[in-house]
Amino acid sequence: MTNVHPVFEPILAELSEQHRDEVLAAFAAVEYGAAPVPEVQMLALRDTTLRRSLQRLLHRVGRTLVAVGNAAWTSGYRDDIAADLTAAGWNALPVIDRAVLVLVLIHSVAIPRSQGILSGDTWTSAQPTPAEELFRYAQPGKGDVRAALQRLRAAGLVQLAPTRGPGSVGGTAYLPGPQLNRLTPLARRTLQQELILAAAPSSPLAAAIRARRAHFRGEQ
Amino acid sequence: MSTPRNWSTTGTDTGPFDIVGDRVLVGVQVVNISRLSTHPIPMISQGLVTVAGQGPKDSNGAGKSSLIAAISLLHADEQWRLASGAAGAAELLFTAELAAQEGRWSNVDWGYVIGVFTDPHATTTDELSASALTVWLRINRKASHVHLRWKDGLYVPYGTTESERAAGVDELWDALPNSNGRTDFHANRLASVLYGSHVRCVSFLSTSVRSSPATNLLAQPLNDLDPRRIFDAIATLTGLDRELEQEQALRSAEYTHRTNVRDAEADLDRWEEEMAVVEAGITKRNEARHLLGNAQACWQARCARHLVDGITRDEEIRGELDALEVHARELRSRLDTMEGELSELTNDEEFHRQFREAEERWKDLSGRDQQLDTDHQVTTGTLEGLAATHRELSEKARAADGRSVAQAQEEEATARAALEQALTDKGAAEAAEQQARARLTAAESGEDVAADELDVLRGEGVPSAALLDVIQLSPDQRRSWEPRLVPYRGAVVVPRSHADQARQKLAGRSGTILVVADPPPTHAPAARADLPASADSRFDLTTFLTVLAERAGDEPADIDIAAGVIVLDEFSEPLTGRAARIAAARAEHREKADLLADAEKLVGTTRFTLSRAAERTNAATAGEEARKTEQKMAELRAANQEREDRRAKLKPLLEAAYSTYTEALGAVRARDERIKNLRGNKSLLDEELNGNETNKTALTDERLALDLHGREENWGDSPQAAQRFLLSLDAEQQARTTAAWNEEACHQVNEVVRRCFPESTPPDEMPAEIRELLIEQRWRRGDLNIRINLVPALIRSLRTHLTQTEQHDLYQQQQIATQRTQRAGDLQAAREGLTEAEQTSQAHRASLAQGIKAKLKKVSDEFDRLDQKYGGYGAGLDYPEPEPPSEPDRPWRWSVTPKWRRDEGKRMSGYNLRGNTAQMDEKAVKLVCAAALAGGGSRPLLLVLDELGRNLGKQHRRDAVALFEQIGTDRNITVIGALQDDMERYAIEASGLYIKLRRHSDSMPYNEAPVIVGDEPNHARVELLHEWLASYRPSGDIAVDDSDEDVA
Repeated sequence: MTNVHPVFEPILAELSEQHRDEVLAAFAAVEYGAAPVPEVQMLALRDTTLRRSLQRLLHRVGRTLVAVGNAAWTSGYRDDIAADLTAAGWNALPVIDRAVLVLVLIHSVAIPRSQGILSGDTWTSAQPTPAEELFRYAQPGKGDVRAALQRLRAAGLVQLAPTRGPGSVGGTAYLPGPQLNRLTPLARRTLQQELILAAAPSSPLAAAIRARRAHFRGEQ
Repeated sequence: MSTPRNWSTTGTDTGPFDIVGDRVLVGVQVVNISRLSTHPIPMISQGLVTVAGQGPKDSNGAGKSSLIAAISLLHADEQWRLASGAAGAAELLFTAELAAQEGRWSNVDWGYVIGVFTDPHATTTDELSASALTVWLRINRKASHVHLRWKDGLYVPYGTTESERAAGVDELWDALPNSNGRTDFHANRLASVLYGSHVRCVSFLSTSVRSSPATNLLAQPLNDLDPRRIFDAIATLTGLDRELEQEQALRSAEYTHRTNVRDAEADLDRWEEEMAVVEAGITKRNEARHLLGNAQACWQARCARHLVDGITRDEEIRGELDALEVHARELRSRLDTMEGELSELTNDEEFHRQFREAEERWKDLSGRDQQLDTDHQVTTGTLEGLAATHRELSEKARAADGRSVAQAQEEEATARAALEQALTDKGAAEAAEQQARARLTAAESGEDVAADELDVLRGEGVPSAALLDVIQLSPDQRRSWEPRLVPYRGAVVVPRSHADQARQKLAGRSGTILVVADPPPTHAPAARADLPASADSRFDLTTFLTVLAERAGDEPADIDIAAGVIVLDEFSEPLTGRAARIAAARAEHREKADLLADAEKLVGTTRFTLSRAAERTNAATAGEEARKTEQKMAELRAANQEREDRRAKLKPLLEAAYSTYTEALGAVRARDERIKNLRGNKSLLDEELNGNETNKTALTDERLALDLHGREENWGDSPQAAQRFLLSLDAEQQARTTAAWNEEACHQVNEVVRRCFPESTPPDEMPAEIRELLIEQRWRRGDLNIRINLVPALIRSLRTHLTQTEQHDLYQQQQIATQRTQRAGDLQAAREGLTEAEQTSQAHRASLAQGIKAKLKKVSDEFDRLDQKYGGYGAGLDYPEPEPPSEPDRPWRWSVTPKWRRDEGKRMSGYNLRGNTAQMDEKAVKLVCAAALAGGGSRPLLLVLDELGRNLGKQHRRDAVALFEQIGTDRNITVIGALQDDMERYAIEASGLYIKLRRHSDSMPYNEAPVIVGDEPNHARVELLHEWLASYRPSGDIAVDDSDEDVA
């Protein structure tokens, strides 16, 4: 290990040679891997002590470990950092991209979840959203939607659904992309709450959400 | 002997595990590794193996470090960072540039390190073959860098030359089965597959092939390491790390439990918070349900009161309406009477006709009178005009001198004829006078004779003159000559020389007479005295005149006898010469002028006569007209008189008609006045009636607005019931007005609304019906009037809402209760799990601490023993037991502090006290050995040292080398050390096997065959191994190998 950024030194110095390798390998895997890393592959993910070191490494660069399912990990922005970045206007998607992403999320996640097909609070799904569905209700032109889909795919926010095999719908279809795994639990919850607030503002669930938010604002 | 495939049962990895087992390395062969040759190199399993080099200059560059690095890789030394793929291994590959051979050779992309492991106790070729396991490592320049395959028995590259061995190696590798299913094991599994959990190698590699300064007791000066690292190193060597990992796994489990508990707690908290909101909502709705009843009761009371009030008011209105009706009827009858009168008055036709007749008669008479008056006036005006005309005409008629018109006209015609004659005479006189004047003027200007011809000739430059002007007649000559010359009065004289020319020029002028003159005589002519002289010297008329004279007779009148021409003579004036001619013209002119003056005088007289005659004619005419005018005036005067008479007759009639008309007019006026009065009264009555009607309408409207039916519907029962209901209320409530009830009902309903939907509730959260009422219909912001209308609808919709939510609330409360129990149960279970895990972890940690301490004690003892045995004064380890980690995910850090006595009987002092480096290295070696001995037990250990004795002094080197040899021999440790030149002599003495790598020149890409020498006890075995290794041929290839000439 010759070129470790000084910001990591204090944490890595405490580790033994092997553990340091493991931690750095896991760091690279969760940071750069497109998909979540199963913890069986990485000692540093499997072992809590090393995971803690990994978490501290990530924390130093504004990231945090995000558990995906029971045995896989990836990394995402810390909630406070995400809030800061968002407040500073970073990384904002164009409106149309957001709209298209929301459509995909509604078709692939929100509707299946309300039907009971999907469980948990994950924002990835195997329920494809056919491209026609996106184009049919698109108020902007199809060309704009296509361009938005391309950008979203490049960003890993949507992915093409497999055209063969179970669950394929025939024709182009989209799924939420692997990057959505990087949402922290808080971010996932916020997203879900926003969707509930938008879809059923008068439901008791929405009322509870609003009450809680008001409560927290009051506390702060 | 087949290799037992040991399968891991402890780790998560499955597959081959610890396949080498107790076997030891007996030979190594490398291909394409650095500049090493491909010769098989035998190995001994205990004691010291020294690797020396003989490069082109000194020992450097022969590939010692590469060889021992390859061996350490083969033994899965952790320093290679096997977990992350052992990228450093690629640096072992032959690199042309490093070998200064880039011109001839290219870099290799992969190379092989092949190790042959056998049972250490095998002594014969057969035994060796039977127990052999050949391990192949393929090193790639690109990831993945290390591939592992193996095969039972001997399986190595073979051949008599370098190139043969190198050429066959890829085929041999391909022939090996894949180690891990479809692929091979890579670096990360190298250690576990080959050696299981045992550490087989501790190395200290220097120079370029060393991948990094690693945590290793031999890699750094001992005092650079902190106690924790020393513990790590010892733990690795003794296998404690596995135990520790297990402990860590337990702590992981504990941590998982703790996370679960924390999550469950957080979840429960969050859920409780959310449910608190929900429950608050439910409570409020319950209150609202209760309050809604009150509101309903209030509304009921209000409706009753409203109904009763309405009925009372209705009765009042009915009374008022009746009174109004009576009054209206009375008014209407009065109005009828008045209308009867009015129609009588307005409908009297006879009266109107009489009035119209009187009016017409009066207008007719009056018109006639006026007409007469007008005519009279006009006639009077005409008479005045005629009288004036008559005076003028009488005046004019006086100039007629008593002549009648016919006489006057006759005289005038006569006078006009006389004037005409006089004017004609005067015109003739004037013409004669003008002619005479012209002749006089011509004579005076000399142009009275042939003036035109003379002009033409002069213009052409022909000399010419009038004949009469040329001839000069003396008074004597006149009598005879003048008649002769009369015929030639118009002649023109031209010189003879120009006669033709003149004739041409004057062509067309008929009647022109040309007289040809002779040229003037050159000498004084002898002029004839009887001939007239020539007045112009240019012309000599002698010839002409002579001829004339000859023709003439005696009498002057006979001018040509021959021709018989006679001219009457007696000319008063001389014919020839200008003066004579002018005088004649003047006399003639004077005569004519006298004649003209007479004529003019006559004209003036005649004119006067004519004018007087004309005047007389006019006057006679005027007298005639005056008579006619007089007659007309008399007629007009008679007509006027007649009119006067008629007017006088008309006057009494007119007066009578006027008085009749005036009377009728008065009657009409009086009647109109009466009608007007009646109409005024009528409109007053109408207004009153209208007012009455308006009142009635207002009252009717009010009555309708009472909407008794609606009120009764709102109340829902009969008015009597309402009355009874009100009477049943207590006194205060009975006294309440509708407004007070309104207030109360609104208040109650608002309370319900506030409980269901607090002020801050956004509109889109309400049910549509309620939102419509609260927001759109302005319940919230509206005043009481707006609100009271909304109350029933609001009560109804609130009741619907509350009924709908009631079920949901009930269900939710049950759910909350169930979930609360369940979640609390979950939390409890999680807590229990945590407690258990903590206890397990603690117990394990306690026992592990015991184990660790025991192991460290063992290491310490071994360390002490080794130290004392090999020249030390005694050594030991400090290993305080660390506190258990506060959090399960924190590491449990052990530390070890080596210490030793610096002198006999002295107290042990810590390793980090400043000491000499040689001693430090020595202790490090002893510590490594001690740890390995304490941990490994039966397994052989390989100690790899680059630059052996780098820091040692001369004495120390010898000691150190000896130490390694001794420890190795005694303890089943193989020490492989690379030597500098100057160490060689110590090494040869001490080492069990001596390997010398050779290369003569830098121009050789690869080494020559190494020199391999075993010491006395090992010599035979080394030879045996050497032959055995070289003897390998694949089955079927039975060629006898007898040409191993390149092996020394």
